[in-house]
Amino acid sequence: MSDHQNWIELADLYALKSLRGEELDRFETHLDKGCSACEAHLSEVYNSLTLMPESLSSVVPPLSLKTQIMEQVALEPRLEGSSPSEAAPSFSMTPVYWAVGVAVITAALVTAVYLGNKPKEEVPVKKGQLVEKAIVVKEEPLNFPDQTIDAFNRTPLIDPQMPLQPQIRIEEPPVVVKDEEEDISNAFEEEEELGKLTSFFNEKTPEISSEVTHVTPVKSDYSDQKFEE
Amino acid sequence: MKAQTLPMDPNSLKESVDLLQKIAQGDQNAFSQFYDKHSALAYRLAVYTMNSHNEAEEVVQEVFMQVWRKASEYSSKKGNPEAWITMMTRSRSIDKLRSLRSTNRTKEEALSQAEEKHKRDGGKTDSPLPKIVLDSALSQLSEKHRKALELSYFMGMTHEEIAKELDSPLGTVKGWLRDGLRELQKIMKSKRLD
Repeated sequence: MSDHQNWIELADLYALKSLRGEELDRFETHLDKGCSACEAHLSEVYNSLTLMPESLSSVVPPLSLKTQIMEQVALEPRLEGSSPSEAAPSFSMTPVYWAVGVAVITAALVTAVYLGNKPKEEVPVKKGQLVEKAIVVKEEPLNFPDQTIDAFNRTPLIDPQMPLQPQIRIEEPPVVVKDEEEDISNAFEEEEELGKLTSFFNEKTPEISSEVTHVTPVKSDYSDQKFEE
Repeated sequence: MKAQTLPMDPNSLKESVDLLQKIAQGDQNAFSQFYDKHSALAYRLAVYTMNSHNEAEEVVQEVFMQVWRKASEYSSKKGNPEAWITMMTRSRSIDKLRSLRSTNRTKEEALSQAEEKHKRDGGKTDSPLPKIVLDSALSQLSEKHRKALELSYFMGMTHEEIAKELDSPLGTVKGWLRDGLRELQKIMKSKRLD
């Protein structure tokens, strides 16, 4: 009996799931090495074993079983073309793609870190500019004091000589100025100089806090860039 | 009552493989067709092994959900699609049977318990159970070969357990199993030629 005949005999028992312990380990190790003769034999035996259930009298599964299974299948939909053999190419990135991807992500992270740590510029503020920036603050929810400070540190893009009134008008959606004033004040208290500017703002624009309840910035020639940041 | 003893013809085999490829891509209609084509044989095997329609339904459901999830893993190394389905059904049925037997001393107690559960769940107690058909491939085997294969294939016994069950030497039982398989292969080949 040839050496390979021993493997074929083990394959028979393997197909019947009758191998245990050391014999099972030995045969599976042999299969892992890629024995095509044993694979072909196993496939043949598996096909022949279908004669076992085919030798039984017919019993029809209930229709409800199919309904039940199809319902379960419908709950586990898959994307078209998701079989590994076809989907594999779409997931297998070449080294070039990986390199580009890593570079883009790294650049984005570096930029984010740089901008986050960038020291805030001290911008000399004139009285006319203050009014314009205060209106910017009112445009957005003021849940975080930092937002107010950032708004103040923006480079002024509006003519300092621009009169106050043309920049204010009533529009939808409504922004309640009264409630936001408290947030603005809290933010300003963080720096003494900003507090002084707030006082100046309140003195010079009493109509905003007492009469005007809905405020939106008026777009000037510069406003598109400035307010869309 | 006649058994369906025709092996998969080439056209039917190709159709099943095509369906599996579509199932692997998430085609539910292909899955429905595949179920219609192969569920009866799987169910028959599960009922015979479990001796219970209720337990068999659970097994068949598990097997076909496995087909839905793992269709892309089918390979001709596992035999034709019908062989793949029946091998999965057999494995799961035997696992379930062993699980029942682990809490019961004998197979009869396990099956009795399964049937009681089936009745409690509202199953039909008068549903017929499959039997080995007289003119089937299995009935053409010699008595010893048939018996050894039955105990191995349907009951999941190891050759040591079969030797004990049939009160025969281990080497003899291994020979019966191998010879039984050779006979089945011959029958399969002759059917293909018909």
